[in-house]
Amino acid sequence: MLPEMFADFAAAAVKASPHGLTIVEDAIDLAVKSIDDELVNLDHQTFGVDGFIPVSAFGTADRSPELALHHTRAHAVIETTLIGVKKDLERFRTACVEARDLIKGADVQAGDDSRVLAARVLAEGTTGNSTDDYYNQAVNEEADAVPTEENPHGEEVPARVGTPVGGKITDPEEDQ
Amino acid sequence: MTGQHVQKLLKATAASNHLKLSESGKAWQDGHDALDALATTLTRTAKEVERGFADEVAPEDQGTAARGRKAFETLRDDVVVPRRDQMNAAAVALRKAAAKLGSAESARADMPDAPGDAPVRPSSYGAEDDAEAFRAQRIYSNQVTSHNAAVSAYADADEKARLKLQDLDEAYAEASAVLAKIHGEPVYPEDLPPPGDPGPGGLPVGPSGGHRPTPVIQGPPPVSTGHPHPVPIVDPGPGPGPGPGPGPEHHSPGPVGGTLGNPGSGSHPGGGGGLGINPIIGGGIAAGLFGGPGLANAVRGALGGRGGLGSTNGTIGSTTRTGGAGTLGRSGGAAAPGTQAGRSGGRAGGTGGARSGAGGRGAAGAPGTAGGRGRGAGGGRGAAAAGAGGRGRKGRDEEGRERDLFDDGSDWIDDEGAGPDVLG
Repeated sequence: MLPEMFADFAAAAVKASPHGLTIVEDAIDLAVKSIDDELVNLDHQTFGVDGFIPVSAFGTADRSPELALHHTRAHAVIETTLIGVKKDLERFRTACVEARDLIKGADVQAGDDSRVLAARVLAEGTTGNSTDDYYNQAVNEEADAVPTEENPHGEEVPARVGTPVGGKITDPEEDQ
Repeated sequence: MTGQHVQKLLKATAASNHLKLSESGKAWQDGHDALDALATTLTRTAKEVERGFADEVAPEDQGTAARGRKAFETLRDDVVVPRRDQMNAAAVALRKAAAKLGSAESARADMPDAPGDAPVRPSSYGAEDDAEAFRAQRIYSNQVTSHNAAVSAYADADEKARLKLQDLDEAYAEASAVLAKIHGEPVYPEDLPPPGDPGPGGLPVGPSGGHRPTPVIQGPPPVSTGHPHPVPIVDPGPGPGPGPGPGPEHHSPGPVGGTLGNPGSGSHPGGGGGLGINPIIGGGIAAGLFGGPGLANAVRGALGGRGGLGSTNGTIGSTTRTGGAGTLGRSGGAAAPGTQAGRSGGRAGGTGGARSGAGGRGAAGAPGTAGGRGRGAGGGRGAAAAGAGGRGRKGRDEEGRERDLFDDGSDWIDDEGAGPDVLG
């Protein structure tokens, strides 16, 4: 979906006026800044620690085990998914910056090629959907997660993505 | 079984920590807020991108600008918004669950201790004079009043605990459904535990939940009728009476005369000791609970009237809390004048007590007590509790069996011999 959308973006960039491209540039700057700000708040490790609930905290009501189980799995899935969200946003941000620079240069060069290139960079920068990839991976790998008393992510122990217990969830690409 | 919900709540919240749920909810909320800010920014960016691309572009090319906008909106809608909404749903569900858990934890601190054993009636034997007996009786009356107040409070707390647990389980179920959607694992109904509320007097909660406080209804010393089913006197007035009426009185063996619904701390659970409630006295007592003038007066007379023993605070029917609407039913049934004593006590402890509140649920009573097992008119719901509540959760099955007993008339057969003897 995203590549197609950004192909349209490329088409729009080619036809934009210099003034219009300035508007686009400003808008992209705004998006980049917002992404930078919110990426801090979307830190999956922070969510992994702050969102954890010890199993005992749920109490021993009839449905306590049920909620503890579902929260443990949902928390782990979202924690992993946030990695994908961040990757998508970071990729989009990078593409925006590159596109902005190219668009900015297009004013000087007055050439459509730069605009096309800018749009292409932007489109390529958003190819794929890491969020869905991470989400689907996490759903499969967290299916056996069980509630625990200790936060498995509290220790700086590297573990594969989605490891239900035994260590902090890390991004395998970062490990590499 | 009065107190089971109290025990269950105490157990459920023994190590719980609603703050942990709240903190987690905040973490989910923070994630939502971040994604929501991004979504807002992308929306704004999309509009600006469209505006920029549309600048100085011929109208026929507006579609191109719109597609440029769509690119940002797609990122927003495909990546940001779905996760934002998931995190918000989880945050809301966890906050609600945390609130309910916190409420249950707060209620935990308010739970009264289980009432102790009922006071033991002083024996008139060995008393040197009437004054000494009078004093002993007055002390006993005070003890009974205090005990019944404790029983009433405990029954109220049990009902409160039941509601807290019910709310908690409902909130947990809702949160579980939300979180299950997030992690993609379906929730099958058969996988869910049974609802938290097993119903009044529901499932046992373990050894700790077995205490059954019982109110004490004062009365004259026990008089054995020699009949296993003491029969409170039957008021021929309104309501079902003996015979083909809607409901003959079924009374289990009572423990000690004059104490309706008092199992004697378990020492007389079935009342099998042969002691029973004097039908006249028992009926009078029950009538007193309901404000019934007839038999109550008889009892009052036996006790020396208003100025007599127990009149200050232990007189049955005059006690505001234990004898009245408190223990004996908040429904106000106790106020029904002229309600037949036996019928009243029975109904309340039985089915009537089921949901009508503390009294009904049996704070009181104990199985096998005169009032408790009786099947009577609804008017007796309130009072009944005093004698009866204890039936508590004997279960609908047992209740059904008792109803069967009514239906086949065996009770009447059993009681036939006793009635004439007593009344005659």
